[in-house]
Amino acid sequence: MSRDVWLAIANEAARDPSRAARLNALLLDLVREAKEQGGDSTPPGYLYAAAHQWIVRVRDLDPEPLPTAAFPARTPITASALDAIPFRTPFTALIVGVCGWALARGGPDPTTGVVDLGEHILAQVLPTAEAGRDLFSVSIGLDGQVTFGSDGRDVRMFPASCVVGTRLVPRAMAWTVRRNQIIQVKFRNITNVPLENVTPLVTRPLRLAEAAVNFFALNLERP
Amino acid sequence: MAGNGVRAPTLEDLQALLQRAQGAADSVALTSEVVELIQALPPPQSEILSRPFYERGSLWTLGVSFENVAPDDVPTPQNVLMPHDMWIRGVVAQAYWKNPAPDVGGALVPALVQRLAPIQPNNRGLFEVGWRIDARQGFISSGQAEINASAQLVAGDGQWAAPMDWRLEKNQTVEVRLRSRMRDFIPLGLPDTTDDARILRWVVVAFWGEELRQPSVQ
Repeated sequence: MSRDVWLAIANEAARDPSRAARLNALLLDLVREAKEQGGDSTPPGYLYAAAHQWIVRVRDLDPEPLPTAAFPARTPITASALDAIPFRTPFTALIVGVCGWALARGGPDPTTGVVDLGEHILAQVLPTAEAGRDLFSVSIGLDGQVTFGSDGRDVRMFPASCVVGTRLVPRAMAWTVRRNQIIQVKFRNITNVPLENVTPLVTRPLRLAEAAVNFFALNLERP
Repeated sequence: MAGNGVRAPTLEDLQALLQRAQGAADSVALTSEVVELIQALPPPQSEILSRPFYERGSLWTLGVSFENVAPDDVPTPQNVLMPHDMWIRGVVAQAYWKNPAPDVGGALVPALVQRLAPIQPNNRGLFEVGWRIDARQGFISSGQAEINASAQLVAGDGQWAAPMDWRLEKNQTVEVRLRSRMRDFIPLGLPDTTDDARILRWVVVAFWGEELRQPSVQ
C-alpha cells in the first residue's frame, strides 16, 4: 500500500515544482521509516523480473467441428484434437499472474482475396468477454499435470474467460516453477460455438488471428 | 524472453536518489526520475517471499459444463470432484448462446443484440446457477428456500472471481445446478422466434481453488 502513497506524493511533486522540495523531503522520511520497519523492503539479491512475460500463443487457429447428433464422435467441446504447446521455463520463477487475449477475423477468400465484410464485422462483435477470451478455450498444465481445467476427474478445456484474466486484471497466481519445467498450453478456437446455426451463411468459419496466454514471472534466481 | 536482467532498484536506491533531490533545484529536476524509480521497485519482500510454500502451489480451475440447454430444460446437476484437499477461492462463469438461424433476423443482428444487452460480460445474464456441497449444503437462498440466482449476481467473469472461502476435503463434491433465462431474454410472443433461438449452447461454471497441501508438482 505504501508504494501507492509514495507514487502519489512523487507524482504530486512532479506536477507542482513549487512543492517538489518539501514533498521529496516527506518522501525521504517515509522511505527511511519503511526501511526501519523492514516489512516493505525489496527482496535482497534477486533480479527483479516483473518485465518477464512468458507468452504462449497460436496464430491462424481454425475452429474444430463440434459434435452433433449426426457426428457424435467428434472431439467434445471440452477437449481439442490439437497438441499442447510447450514452454520451457528459462529460470526458476514465481509466476504471479496470467492473462489471455484473442482476436478473430474474417479471412480472405482463397481465390479472390476478398474479405467478406459481414463475416469480418461478425468476428469483431462476437466476443462477450473482455479481450476476446471467450473466443478460445484453454487448458494449462505443468510437467504433464493439468491443473487449469478439470472437473476433478479428467482434463477439461474451458473458455479462457473462466481460466485466465486480462492484462489489466490478470488472474492472480503464486506458482513457483523451476528452471526447465514445461508449461503446456492447449488452445481451441470456439468461435463456432455461438455460430453453430449461422455458420452455413457465413462463408467461412471465423479464424483466430491470434490466441495467447501471458504469464507474468518474477525471476527467483540469484544474479 | 531473457533469462537475465538488470538488478532491480531497491529502497536504498530510492533513498539515495531522494537525498540527491533535497536541494531545491534538484528536487524539480529529479522528480520524474523518482516517479520512475518508485514504479520500478519490486514488490515488497513481504508480498513475494513470506507466504507458506503450499500457498504457492497448484492453482486449479475446477469446472462443470452444460451443453444445449433449452429454455424449459432442467439439466442434470453436474458435480465437481475435489481432487485434493482444496481451498476454493472464487467462482466464474461463461455462457454461449446458440445464435438463431439467419431466417430469424439475419446473421448479424443476434450478435449485435447480444453485444448490447445487459447480460455482459460473459453472457452471465442468460442463466441462473446454484451450488451445494455434497448435494446437501446449499448457499444461495431467499431466506426461506434454496434458490438459483443469476450468474450476474453470484459469479465472476474471469477478470475477477466472485469470492468464496470453502475448505473442502479430497473427494467432496460441489454440485452445480443450472436454469436458463432465455425466455426472459427472448420472450414468448416475440414475433418470428422459436425455441431454436433460445438454446444455450454451452455454459461453464468454474471454481478457482488452491491445493491445501503441498502439491506434487512443486
